[in-house]
Formats: sequence, structure tokens, C-alpha cells
Amino acid sequence: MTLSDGTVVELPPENAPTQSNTVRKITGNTILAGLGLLFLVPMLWLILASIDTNATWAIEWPHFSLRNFQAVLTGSLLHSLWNSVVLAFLSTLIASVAGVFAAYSFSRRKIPFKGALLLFILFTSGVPLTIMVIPVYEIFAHYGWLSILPTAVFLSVTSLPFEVYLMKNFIDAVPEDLEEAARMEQASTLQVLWRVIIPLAMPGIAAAAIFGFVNAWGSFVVPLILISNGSQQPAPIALYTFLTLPKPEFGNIAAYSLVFCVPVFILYAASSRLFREGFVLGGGVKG
Amino acid sequence: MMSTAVVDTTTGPRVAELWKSRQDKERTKWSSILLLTPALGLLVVLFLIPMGFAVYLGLTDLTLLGPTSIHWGFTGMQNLTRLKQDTEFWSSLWTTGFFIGGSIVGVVFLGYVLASLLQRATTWLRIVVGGIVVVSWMMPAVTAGMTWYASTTGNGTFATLLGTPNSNFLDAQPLLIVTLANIWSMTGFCMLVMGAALRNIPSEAIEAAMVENASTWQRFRLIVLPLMRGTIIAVVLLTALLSLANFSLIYIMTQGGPGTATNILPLYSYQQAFSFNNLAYGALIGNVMVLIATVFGVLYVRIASRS
Amino acid sequence: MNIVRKLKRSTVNKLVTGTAVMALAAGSTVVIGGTGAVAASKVTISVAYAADTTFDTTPLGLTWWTQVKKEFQAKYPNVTVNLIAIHGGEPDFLTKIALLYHNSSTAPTLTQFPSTEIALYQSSGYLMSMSSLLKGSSWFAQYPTVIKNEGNIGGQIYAVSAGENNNGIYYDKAILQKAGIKLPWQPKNWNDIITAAQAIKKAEPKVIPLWLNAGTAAGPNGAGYGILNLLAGSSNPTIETSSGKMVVSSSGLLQALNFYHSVFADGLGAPTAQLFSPNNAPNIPSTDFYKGTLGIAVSANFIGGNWTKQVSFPYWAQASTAMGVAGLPTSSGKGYASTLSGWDYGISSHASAAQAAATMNFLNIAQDSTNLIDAANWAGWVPPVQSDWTVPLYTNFAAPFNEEFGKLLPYSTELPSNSNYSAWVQGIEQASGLIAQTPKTTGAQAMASMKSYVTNQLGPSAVTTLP
Repeated sequence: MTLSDGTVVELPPENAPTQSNTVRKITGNTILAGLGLLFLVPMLWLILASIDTNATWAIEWPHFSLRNFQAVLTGSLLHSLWNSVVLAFLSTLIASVAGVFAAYSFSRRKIPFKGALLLFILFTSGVPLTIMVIPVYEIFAHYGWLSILPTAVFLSVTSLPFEVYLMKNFIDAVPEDLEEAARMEQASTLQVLWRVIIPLAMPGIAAAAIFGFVNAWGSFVVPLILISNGSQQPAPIALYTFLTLPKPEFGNIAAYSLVFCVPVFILYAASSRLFREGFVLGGGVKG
Repeated sequence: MMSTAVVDTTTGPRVAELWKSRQDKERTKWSSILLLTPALGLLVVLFLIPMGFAVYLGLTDLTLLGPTSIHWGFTGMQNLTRLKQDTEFWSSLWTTGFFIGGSIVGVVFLGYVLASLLQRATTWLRIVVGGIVVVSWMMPAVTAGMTWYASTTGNGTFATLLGTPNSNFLDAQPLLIVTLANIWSMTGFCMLVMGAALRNIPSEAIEAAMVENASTWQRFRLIVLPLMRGTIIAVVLLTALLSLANFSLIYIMTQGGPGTATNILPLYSYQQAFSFNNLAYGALIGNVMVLIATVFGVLYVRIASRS
Repeated sequence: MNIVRKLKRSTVNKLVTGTAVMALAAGSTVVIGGTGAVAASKVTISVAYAADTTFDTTPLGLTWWTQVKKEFQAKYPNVTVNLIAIHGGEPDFLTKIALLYHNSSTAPTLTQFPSTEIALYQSSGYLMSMSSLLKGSSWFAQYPTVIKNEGNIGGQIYAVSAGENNNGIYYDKAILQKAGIKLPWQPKNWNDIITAAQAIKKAEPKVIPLWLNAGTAAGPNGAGYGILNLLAGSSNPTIETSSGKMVVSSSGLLQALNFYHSVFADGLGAPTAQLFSPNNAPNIPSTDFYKGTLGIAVSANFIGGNWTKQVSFPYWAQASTAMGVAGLPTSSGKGYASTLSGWDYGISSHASAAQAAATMNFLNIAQDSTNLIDAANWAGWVPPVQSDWTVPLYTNFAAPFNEEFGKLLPYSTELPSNSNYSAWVQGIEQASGLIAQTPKTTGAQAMASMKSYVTNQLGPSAVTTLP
């Protein structure tokens, strides 16, 4: 290969089975497998208890049964899962759309007080939700907005700061000449966004959207306070209620938790290619 | 002093371009503001205004129940004085510091190690381990809290696997255990981010170092670290902010106990506001958290732009 | 204790609240039992209750409320009843109620809440005096005085009991027999309890000798099912002085904490993995007794109900013969000791006269002989009407536990209800948890830590030391 100063160097082929290469690979794999196991251990209880009819907090050899899954995939529990889907989807939609617009604007345009605004956005992500939710409750209660749609709007606000930052970093990395070319052809801003920016910054936008989805999916305190109608409550509330019952069914709790994790896992699997392609963060602060 | 005070716009395309680009640079287009409106609008209405109210609340005597839940008002410095003398608050601050610091160290270290190992691993191992770690990140806090409780309490998973069924790790070292749980639940994201950043390091740089017989540590210190600096700093900030605001995980595992061993600021604020009905005092503690978050943010901007 | 605020404050309050909630002319379209002119023949009342934590199981609660509503609607078809079932744990339920009460348009007409909240709601102005409304209610007249006074503030009744919890001793007959203790067992003083526990430990090392609730995981109720019973039986049971100060150091507190120290230092108590379980620790004794791994427990009356088929936590048909009940003795040996707390009904101060009358009719049905006892059986209460303690519907449900705890009820003393109580109870729970986790901690050390914690939270002017 040729180095930057022109010298030609001959290197051994990358995957040549040299001794140090193989040893390094085996060591690496072993350590990795070990770490993987360590990460798996806490999840053991979840898996074992969900297929156990007599589950408790302890792990024990289960009395195999799929009854727990049957029990949780019915009636109001299934409905809570659906509520979670609705809530997370709406929240992600709002946050992503608002986020893309804002990220694009921050990345490409001159904005007065841009630095201060960016800082403001960053700092809103540190605000503790448990305190915030009371004034918001008062406002929503006043207008009769204690239901799923306004809650989704508020949830979108809670992931907006991170989403804007993530997306902005990716949009920063998109070369400007493509945009210039589009503008030469009299493309409007929306067309530039739709045709040029979004496709090119898609890994980042997808990452931000997934972040927003995961955030809304797992949200607990916000729907607890803001959704007054029992039939509109999402899954984490149902799960928490399970836990605080005088008579808890650990098997059901574990099964429900597993089912609850499935959608996010699917989301990850579906977008794993996007993740692998490019997930650049922290390219410095561009003013 | 007059330099290029007069621009001859009639000569040459380059000058015209200069003029045009200068025009673009100085104007703030309406569309820019319009693009910002949805995000900023939401943030102002649903965040800024309630937050302003929360800031004001911190200086009042509003309670959730009791006479001052209806007839309440501004009390000036009273709550601040109470905060200064509140030994529980300072202890909580210290606990939070340990929690955040420990989480940052764990997340960054594990995230980097996993990301770099993942790069060179065999494919199936990469998918399996990568999947496990990412699932642990995506698990909602309620579930993560439950599984960690089950794993670390007496007769729990760790105790059983280590052959000492009665050991109750959670109650023996609560702060350490919840910090580990937090690291476990955040490493996945860091791993993904660092993985992408590692991929962006040009292979020529690594190979050049290999030619010069650089050791692994030297390679890391002189090439990887500087190129990943931005990513690492961003991850540190995100970890710090998310740990600072962590509520559900610890709430499920220990409720801030035993005693006050894991009563980090969000839990203390919640306890004051909802268990002791002191909404105003709880809001004040919340405001302290916002202040700390701001300090983190300012530090981030300072450090990140110094490159 | 009503604190009168200046008019200026309330104006400022209105201004700020108005600005903060952007009080434009939006007028809420949802009127749930609030103020407003209502046609004389059609009245709407809303009833709020905890769906998951009052009754022993959520389905039982739903059954009871549906049953009462149906009976009411049949008798009073002109009244619409909106049942507001609030899900979640007890702390979340209490927060939701406080938020609902905060707005006059969302305040439920009738609410069922814990007795420890009565004074808080009343001092916030949320409750209406029921004294005149109760004049025709035969059930209230039959309450023992101590239960009647549960809702008595300044001579007016602001809340009426739905059911009560008291505490005592459960013991496993077989385990005690093996330890050589004569049955039926009734310890005469605290030493008797420790001796029995030590005997159990010697005879059956794998069994937990004595269950004493400790720590903060069970929430503020945990202490009421645990250490506060001992305090009630000590030489100085005062928690709150007549001037409203909370007691942070006294001979009574020391005795109670010393008892805990003796128990845990000798390894006679339950492991913290069980005591600190986030999953309703006070109910764990019913599982442990069933498995035969627990000898004695100081606990509440609802444990007995856990073994019935309807509750099944767990279902134990032999419970009535395998288990015995004893009263918790006082430290001096005279009589028994127990705390008394329960769930109460209160009517919103914003209810109109028509709504209040309709609510009273609803209460009369909820508190009739059948419904009252059904509630007691399914929620693990002792019914507040004394004559019900010997009615077969009650005594046959969780025999013999229901009957025994009914007999013990006259010995119980009411828990306080004031705004400082929550911080105080957190302090004593932490102290008991400290001993359970580090048994070397002496009673005096635990009391000192409680004193510093509570003084830090409430301020030195709100606490006091008693001999």
C-alpha cells in the first residue's frame, strides 16, 4: 500500500493466519463471550420465571409451561400493549418530524443566538420529569387533555433534545454540494430536505427516532400521572401495578416483561444495518 | 481603516460569488425560523413554561395536601436556607456523584471494550453478544429494575450461581449494585456509538502505526483516542445526564433504601414532593438537578469545542 | 387546626395559578361531580377508589363496587354513579387523589381513602362535614367510640370508617409444639415472645422464628403492622404531643427499638431479603406460614384472609387448624396492644346539597349489613360495626382469624393523622430497618439515628423529646 508520503510498503494480508493474529482473535472472542454471558445473567430470571408456573424472585428449575404467556396476551393486558404502541408511535412521529426540521435549521442556517438555543435544548434534557409533570398535569387537567394524544405530545418533548442533537450531528456530516446542486435546480427547502438531506442522514435520523421510540415505550411516570382513563394506560403502568399487588404473579410479570421487550428488539433487528453503517456522534460543536 | 471597502461587483464571476455568499451568510431566512418552530414551540410551551413554574415553585410553600395546598405563596429564601442545612440533601448529592461517576467510568470502559472486540469478532458471536448488550439497553427501566432486583437479592440469580444462596448483595452494597445495574442498562448505546466511531477511523492510520511496530496501548493512545475524542466526550455527557435523571431503575430496586443509601437526587426530590407532600421543596431539589445538568452542558461545550 | 391565610396570599395564588395554567376562557367541558346547577331530578356523583390496593385482589374489589353500584342504581334510578377506579400502588393512588381534589371540577364526590389522610384532606378544605348527614344512619350509631372519632376533627365528622386494620400475633401450632411451648399460646409480656422465639430457633434451625416488619420498603403502612404496635404497648406510646410536636426520643421508642435489637441480634428475625421486598412485604408471612418456614409473626388481621379460596395468597384449607392467634402483650403485661388504622369515606366539600344527599344514600347501601361485611372479608378489614364481629358471614369467612381480631380490636389505638407523620414514620422505619440489617445496632443507636433524621426533615421546632 502507499502511505500518504508516497512510500510504498508491503504489508502482510490482513487475515493472514499469523500466530499473533490468531491468538489475538481467540483472546478477543473469549473475552467477548465472557462479557456477553455477564450481560445475560440478570436476564436469566426473566426467561426462567416466564416459563415457570410457580415463579418467585429466586431462580429455580422451572415447572415448564407457557401458561404465563397465555395469561398476559389477553384482554386488558394486551390492550395496554396496544396503548403503548400508539403512544410510542405518535410520540416518535412528532419528535422526529419536529426534530428533523430543527436539526436541519441548526445545521445549515444562520440562526440568531444559535449557540444559546442549542445549549437551552441540551439543558432541557436534564430536567427531572417527576417535577415537570405536575405543572403539565395542571395545564392538561384544565383543558381536559388527560388522555393518550396529549400525553404523546408531551412525551415527544421529552426526547426532542437528544433527537435534535443526534440528527444535527448527522446532518452536519452531509456534504453541502449536493444541496447546492439541488438549489441550482430551483428546489424548495422542503424538497431539499426530502430528496437530499433525509436520505443521506437516514442512519442518524433512524437512530434518533429509535431513541425517541425507546424513550416513549418505557416511559412510566408521565403516563401514570397524565392519563386518567384506565383503559388508555400503557404497558409499564400495567407492569408496575402487577408488582405492587398484594398477590403478585411473578410468572406473569416476567412473561409480560419479555413480551414488552419484543417490539424494541424487532426495531433494533430491522435497523441494525443502519446502525452498522454509520452512527457518528460528537463531531465537535459546530456553532 | 479602509481595506476592501468598495467591492467591484462588475468584475468576474468569483467576485459575484463572494458577494452572493456573503449575502446568504448574513441574512436569517424566514424559512429557517419556520423550520425551528415546531421543535421550539413544543419545547417552550410544554417545557419552558412548566419549568419556569417549577423554578418559581421551589421558592414557595406549596404542599400537595394541607392548608398550604390551597393557600400558598412565595416564601423567598426560606427553602434555600432549609436546603443549605439539610444533611439529607448533601448526603444525596454525594450519593448522586458516586452514582454518576461510577456509571460514566463503567459505561465508557465497557462500551469501548465491547465495540473494539465486536469489530474483530467472528460474525455469529458479534450478532449474539451485540444483540444481548443492545437488548439490555432497550429494556425499559421497570423491567431492568425488576431483573436486577431478582438477580441481586437473597436467593437471587447471582447468589445462586455463586453458590452462596443466602447472600443478599443488594442490601449489602446497595449503591454499588444499582450503579452496576445502571451501567448494564446504558452500555449498549455507548457500544453502538463507539462502534460507528471506530469504523470511521481510517485504516491507513492503524496500519501505519502497525508498520512502525506500535504496541496496542500506543496505538490506542496516539491514534484511536484523539480521533474518538469527540465521541467519548459526547458519550460521557449523555451518560452523566441520563444517570442524573435516573429514577425508575432505583425506585423499583430499592426505593432509595436501605435507609438512604441509594437516595439519589431524583428519588429524594420525589420523596419530598409526594411522600412528604412538600411539593415546593421537592421542586427546589429538582431545580438543583437542572443546575447540575446545565453545568455538565457548559463543560461539554467548552471541552468539545476545544479541538 | 385551620390556618387562616391573608386575602392577599390567595389573590397572589390565583394570579400565579392562572398564569401558569394559562387560564384563558377555556372552561372545562368535563364536569365530574363539581359545582354547577343541576336539574333537580338528575344527579351525578363520582366515586373514586383504589382499584388494586384496598381489596385483597383487584377482581374482588371490582366485584364489590359493581355489586354496590347495582344495588344503588336499582333503588335510585335517577342518580348517575361514575366509578373512578384508580390503578397503581398506594403511593400513586394517594398522589392521584391529591391531584383530583386540587381542582374543584375534578374532585370526586365520594372517595375511599386511608384513615391517615383524613386530617390532611380536611385541613386542605377538601372534605365536607358529614355530621348532619349521618343523623339518619343506623350503622354509624353502632360504631365504637374510638372508630367514630377516627373522622372527628374539631367536633365535626369528616370521614366515616369503611373497615379497620388491627394487629396481633399469629403462630404455627406445630412449630411451637416442637419447640416445647404449651398451646394455646398467649405470651404475657415481651420476654415471653423472645423466649418462645429462641426455643423455636433451637428446635427448628431452618425456620424463621419471629416475623417483625422492618425497613421502608412496605411504605408508611409497614410500621403500622410492625414496630408501632410495640410502641403502642410500651410505657410511653406517645407519637404526637397535644401541641402537635412529634416525639423523636422517649422511653417508649427506646423499648420498642430495644425489642427489635434483641430479636435481630439473636438471629430471630426474618432476613432482609424478605423484609425489604418491594413486593408488599407485610403479606409475605402468609406464604411463609403456608410453607412451614415461619414460627411466629406480629402482623395485621388481613393475613388470615389471605388463606381463603377467594384471595388465595396462598390457599391453605388447613390454616384454621394449623394456626393460632394471640394478642400482642404490652411491655408491662397488662392487656394487649395494637395500632388501629383503616379506610374511610369522605364527601367532597364541593358537592352540592343534592349530590351530598345522593352520596349519603349510596353510603347507606355500601354500609348495609351484607355489603359492609363483604367488604371486610374481601379487603381484610374488621367491620366498624361492633355487632358484626360475631355475625357468621364475617366469622365464617376466615375462621378463626376474623373472630379473634374482632375480639382484639377494642385494645387498639388510632394512628395519628397529620402532615408531619409521613416524615416521622419514615424515620422510625429506617431505624427498624437499620437494626434488621445491622443487628449490632443497639436500640439507643437506632433511636439516635431516627432523632437526627426526623429533626433534619421537620425542623427542631416540630419535634420533642419525652422521658
